[in-house]
Amino acid sequence: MMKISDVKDRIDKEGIVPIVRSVIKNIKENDVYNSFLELNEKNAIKQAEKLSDEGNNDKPLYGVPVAVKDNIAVKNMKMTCGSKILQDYISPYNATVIEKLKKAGAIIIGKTNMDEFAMGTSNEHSAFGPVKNPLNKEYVPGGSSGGSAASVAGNLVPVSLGSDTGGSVRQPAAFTGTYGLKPTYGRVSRYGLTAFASSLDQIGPITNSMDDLVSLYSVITGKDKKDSTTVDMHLDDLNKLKNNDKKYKIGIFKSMLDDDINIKIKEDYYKILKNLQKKGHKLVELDFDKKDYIVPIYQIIAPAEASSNLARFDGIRYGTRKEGTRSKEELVSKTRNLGFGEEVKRRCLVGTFVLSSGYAEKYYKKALIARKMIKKELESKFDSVDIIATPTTPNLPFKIGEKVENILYMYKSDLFTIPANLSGLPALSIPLYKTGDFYTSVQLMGNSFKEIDLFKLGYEVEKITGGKK
Amino acid sequence: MTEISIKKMKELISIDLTGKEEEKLKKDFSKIIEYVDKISEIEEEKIDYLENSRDIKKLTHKEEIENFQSIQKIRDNFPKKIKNYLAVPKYIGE
Repeated sequence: MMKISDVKDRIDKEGIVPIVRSVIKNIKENDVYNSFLELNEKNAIKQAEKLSDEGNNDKPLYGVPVAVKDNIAVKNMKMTCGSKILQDYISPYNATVIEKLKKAGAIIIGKTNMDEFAMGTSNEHSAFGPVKNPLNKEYVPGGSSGGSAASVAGNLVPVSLGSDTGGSVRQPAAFTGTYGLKPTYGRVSRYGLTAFASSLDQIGPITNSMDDLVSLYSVITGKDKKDSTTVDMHLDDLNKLKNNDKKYKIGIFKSMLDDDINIKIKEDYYKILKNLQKKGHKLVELDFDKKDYIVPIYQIIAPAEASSNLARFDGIRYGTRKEGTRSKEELVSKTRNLGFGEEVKRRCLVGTFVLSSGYAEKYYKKALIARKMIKKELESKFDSVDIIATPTTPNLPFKIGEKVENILYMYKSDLFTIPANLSGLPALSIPLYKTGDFYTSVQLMGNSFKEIDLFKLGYEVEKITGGKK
Repeated sequence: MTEISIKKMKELISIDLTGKEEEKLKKDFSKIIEYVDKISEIEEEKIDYLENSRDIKKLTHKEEIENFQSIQKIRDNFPKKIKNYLAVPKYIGE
């Protein structure tokens, strides 16, 4: 299991450049998961040489190789977003998170595979082939940040960045036995992240340990004048997280667990709660009467925003273009048909429909009102609890191809992750116990900007389970 | 979805679907809309709708006049250049 501390130990002994070369060589030889779409070989080595010459190893991520989801802009590298429509598009600039990583001494190793435009929960909707779960290559790694999760779970890199709109960092983290965080909306700049649903998207880390998750989080957060939705929020002192004395009130939504949840997931969820209770934390049972509306609300708002955000991909200014057309309309419509996959077309259709004249009031506006109701209800729970705990997913990974036609199954599997996106709250997925090839996971959700509580409790969970082996 | 609304949707999304794609998407679309129709059960409380997760009212930043530094910055954003010109894909026009 690759962690930042392992890499840093090796850098101390061997130097940055040999380590970066060795990581790249390992990826070339052992990425049987199809997790990487492009390696940043020349620039990564150049960057390593520069860092080595500078000799300043005080930087927090000095020499640490990082994989980046392919919807986050890295200058002079392709940014395909997992789509044919951008298959040759090269980004002319760095996303803010990339600038921050580089400033912290990290090495951008490569871009990872993903569901097309971040729309998916299994990484089977990439134009460049599905990603395979390193825990069992016949199974999906989850999505849409499947490549990022697989690169960490497969020990190709110690840490990666994904993006989370309805669970796309946390769910693949759960499926691959890694740690995944969706920060509070506004903690991390979205400048340079290809927008799927702008009011829901957040960039988040995927790692093999709590230490690494906190390290990466502390580097990428912060106000950014290029993203007016970011906040100027004090970053808590992250040094005193491990030996936590604070006893939390942990809310559980028992009614949500009556649904069709995998039995092992349920067992391990109750097991970890019992263990936390023994440590002095209090469990509080909560109601959530609007749970049946969570996924429908999301499946109106997210496609609506996506249909607007994806309107820019028309083949005129950049990207794939269908040649030999006879008018602007034909160029655009044929390019988009050629360039977009089935799931993207489906979401554009639904999204445009719910925004269209005669239907916008019934669907989109109603969903926005319902969203506020969900947010109000969730926030009110934090009057009586500090953290809400749920399983991250209702199901364990499934075989590649098994569920790809079952759209509603895929959508409903985001039941536990979506509320955090709708409400802008932070949520952390932590692996629990091994079951067969896979891991069960727990999700901790906190109030706005209360990542520090998630980390403190997260460290305790890691201590109880022994962490990932 | 009626034939008229399919035609309208195809125009709005600007995607030239083949016959087979259209048939498949129609079925998927019906399933999804039937599922999301569930929100019609929600009784609306007297609250405003939420456009973003933090209920941010003003997302614009202050317009500040800066001295324009360099035309090179604009050129650098384009992958293809010919001398001092920006090379863009040929656009057919009407």
